[in-house]
Amino acid sequence: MTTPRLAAILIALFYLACCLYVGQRFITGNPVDTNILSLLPADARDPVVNDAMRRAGNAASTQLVFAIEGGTPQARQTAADALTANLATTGLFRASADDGQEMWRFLFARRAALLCPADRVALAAGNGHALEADALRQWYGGLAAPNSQLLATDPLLLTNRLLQCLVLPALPATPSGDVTLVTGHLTASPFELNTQNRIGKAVIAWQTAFASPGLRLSRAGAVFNAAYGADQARQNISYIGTITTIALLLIYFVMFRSLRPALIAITMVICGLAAGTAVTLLCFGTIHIMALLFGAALIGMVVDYTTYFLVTGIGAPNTPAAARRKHIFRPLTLGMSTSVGAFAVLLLFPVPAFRQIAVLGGSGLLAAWLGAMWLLPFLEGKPAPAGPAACAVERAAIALLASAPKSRLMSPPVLAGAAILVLATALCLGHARDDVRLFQAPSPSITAEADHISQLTGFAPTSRFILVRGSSADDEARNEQALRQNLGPAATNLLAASAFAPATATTARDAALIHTALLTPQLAPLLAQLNLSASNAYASVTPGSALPAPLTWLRGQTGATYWSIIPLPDSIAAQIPTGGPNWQVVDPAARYSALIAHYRVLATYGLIGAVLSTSVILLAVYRRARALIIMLPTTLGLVTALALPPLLGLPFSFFSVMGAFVVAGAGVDYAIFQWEHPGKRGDWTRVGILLAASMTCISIGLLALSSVFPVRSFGVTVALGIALSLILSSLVHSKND
Amino acid sequence: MKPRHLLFAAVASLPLAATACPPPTSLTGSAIRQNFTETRSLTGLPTPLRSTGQLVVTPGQVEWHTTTPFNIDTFITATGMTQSIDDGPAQQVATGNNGMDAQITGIVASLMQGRWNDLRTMFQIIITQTNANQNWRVTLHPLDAKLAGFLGNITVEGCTGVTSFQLTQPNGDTELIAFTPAPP
Repeated sequence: MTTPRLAAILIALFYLACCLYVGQRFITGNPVDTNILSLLPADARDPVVNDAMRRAGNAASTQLVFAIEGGTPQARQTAADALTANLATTGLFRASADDGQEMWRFLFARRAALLCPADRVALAAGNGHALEADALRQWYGGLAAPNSQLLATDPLLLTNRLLQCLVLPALPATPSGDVTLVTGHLTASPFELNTQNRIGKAVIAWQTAFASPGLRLSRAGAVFNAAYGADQARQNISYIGTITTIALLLIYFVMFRSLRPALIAITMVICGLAAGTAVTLLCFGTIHIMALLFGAALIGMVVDYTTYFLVTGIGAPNTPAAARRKHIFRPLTLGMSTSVGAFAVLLLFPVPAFRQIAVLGGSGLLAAWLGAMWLLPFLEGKPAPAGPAACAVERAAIALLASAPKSRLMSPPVLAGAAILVLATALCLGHARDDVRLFQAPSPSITAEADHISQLTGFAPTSRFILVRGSSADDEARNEQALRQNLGPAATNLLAASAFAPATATTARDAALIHTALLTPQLAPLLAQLNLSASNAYASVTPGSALPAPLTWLRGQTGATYWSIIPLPDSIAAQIPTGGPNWQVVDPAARYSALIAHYRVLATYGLIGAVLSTSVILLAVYRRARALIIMLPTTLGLVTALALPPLLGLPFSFFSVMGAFVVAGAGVDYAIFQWEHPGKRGDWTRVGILLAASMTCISIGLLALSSVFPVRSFGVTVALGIALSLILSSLVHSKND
Repeated sequence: MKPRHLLFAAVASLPLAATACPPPTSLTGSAIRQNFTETRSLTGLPTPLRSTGQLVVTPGQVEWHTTTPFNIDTFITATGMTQSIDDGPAQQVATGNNGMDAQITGIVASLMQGRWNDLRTMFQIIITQTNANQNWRVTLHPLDAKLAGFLGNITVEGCTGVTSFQLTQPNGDTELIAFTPAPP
């Protein structure tokens, strides 16, 4: 077996393995992540803040509130029970009532060692009788009376007191009027498509059964926004994939008279994308929906190498495939290297989704290049004859790219001056967008429902929080207690871990106070009034430092730092200072926005570095200063692609710069081809360039229609940059002649 | 007993015979005001706890006002339960009943007003009345385990109106609430 044939078989097997692996991952489970936070950079400067932000974000995003309105109270309650049951059958929902039972057990175990702040004050003032009288009243008292099990275990009803002061204020307010709430949280990520699908089906099943009796349902929860976003992305993937495929077929139809090249191209696209997806899944475990969206757009880039090769068959039908491959090997390899290098630069930035795009794009292009070089010659068979419009495309390519524009207005100095002018205007008039809250347009109906619930209950999941640090778990608890004490009344209703599991010394003090100021003087009189004999109800308590399961997310550890989160509702945030010793207020939206701004500046410098390093590579390969002209079209394209959109209303952003990295890598390919294949012998190469760039512009340019700002910004920059790099590549040709 | 007294007794009993107990399904009335005597017999407690007061049911609200041995005014509405002690400010109560306050308000109102059909979605209802001259009895078994755990089985007795509830909890606790008409 010859070496090329062996290489072809190995590549085919690699493609097959990738397709099987990707198929297996999507059939056995859904590896797609839809978390918008994956589009935001990690805070590498402070890992504690980063971990806490992720934790707070996850906790806020799993909450669910449903409001059922209309009908009678009984009808609403029946409907609410049915909705709870529907959600529970998904196995992904835990009702607040279940959390309530968990909280009860936790507080019951600590009833003789934990105090409400007001009770601590009362007992310290020797007013234990008030607690005893309160318990006696409750034993007599009507519909809220406790049951007899507590006579033996908690006759002073201390658990009820803890429940009242610690848990009740943290719950969403029960709305007045004809409303019944269903509240709870998801036990799986709301950003997994599987979660969105199952919860969505449970709600639809409920609506089918209960909407007709006049009941109305409102929903609030990140899962619904995530499902909407994912649905939008799926639609985008669908139309980008469809339009790009149609464009590909159309172009291949007009270029080749046979159907075979189109089928080969589609096969190569599928294999290239499968390889990229497989490598991404192997590297990250999951794949972000925006990476998949980019994958749809990658069709236009992956097909380039196939197009370059097949077009050589039109130009030189009698030349053997091996010779044609040799003819394009160097420019194609150099172009692939610069493209993969450009994608690799995205790995330098700590944005999970863009790192996936880097791996997907880089490995996809590498796989496509491998296929075009060694598999395609065997698949091609006899070179396809020129199609009905191949000559017209050739004439267009020659007209556009074969010679430098005659007009002086298109001379390099004038073009450079124009680009600088556009850049200067953009710097003066354009603006940047870093505010993460403006990145994704939410569904109007879901937003309206969430606003309605917020008005009814005050429920508005907040990602803002106070972060408290300590050198040990106990130190952190002490710091948090001290902070709550300093904040005074503003902190009364805040959900804090140290209220449930205080520092060791506080627990010991509370236990002693309960014993001396309540149990010793007040338990016997209470039991006497109930005609009960002496009790050892409070003999066994298990304080511990652990939190109840529903609250474990409030505490964490990063390295040697112990930390806790106190969620900070917007209504209280204004009353709290921004920070102090061992604590700080963290506003993730503001922090992410600041990070985005920081990385935008950093990435801009990185882009300049990438252009310079590509120039160095070109100098190293060609060993001539004149080769630097290859960078001119791309540089002009980059400057214009970054500066023009802000003047047309699309703000400059970190994501524009991410797109610019792709332009820096892929756009230079055209100039390299022009440099490598000047004059008449490069005519069919220019046809390949024109077709490849057109495909890339169509597919990536369609991202401009996305409703997600980062994707739109990325798409516009790449499409514009690639188009300009293509058009201006004729400047290179003219210099090299 | 003298014959005159017997005659008086016979005449006095005539209205009772004339006002034989109608079936419980014929109860009407939107607002209820009744005095109550509540007797709580708790497992492990040698002496029952007895309290008295007044129950007022109005649309969307149940007021349970215990006057002896303590003055506790409890309001249950769809938004939750509040208590005021010795005419002090109303304070919200953590009932630990998993948000069933609205449901309980509806149940108590329906029980007092004899709206049994409204309760059929939540209870298995058995009505017992052997003849029209006898008090009737309605037994309600909750269909939902959560509700059963909180309320237990309910037995309602009455004639022209509800005269008593008895709640029997799964753990053996019983709560007997006897009603007498309250002055307007």
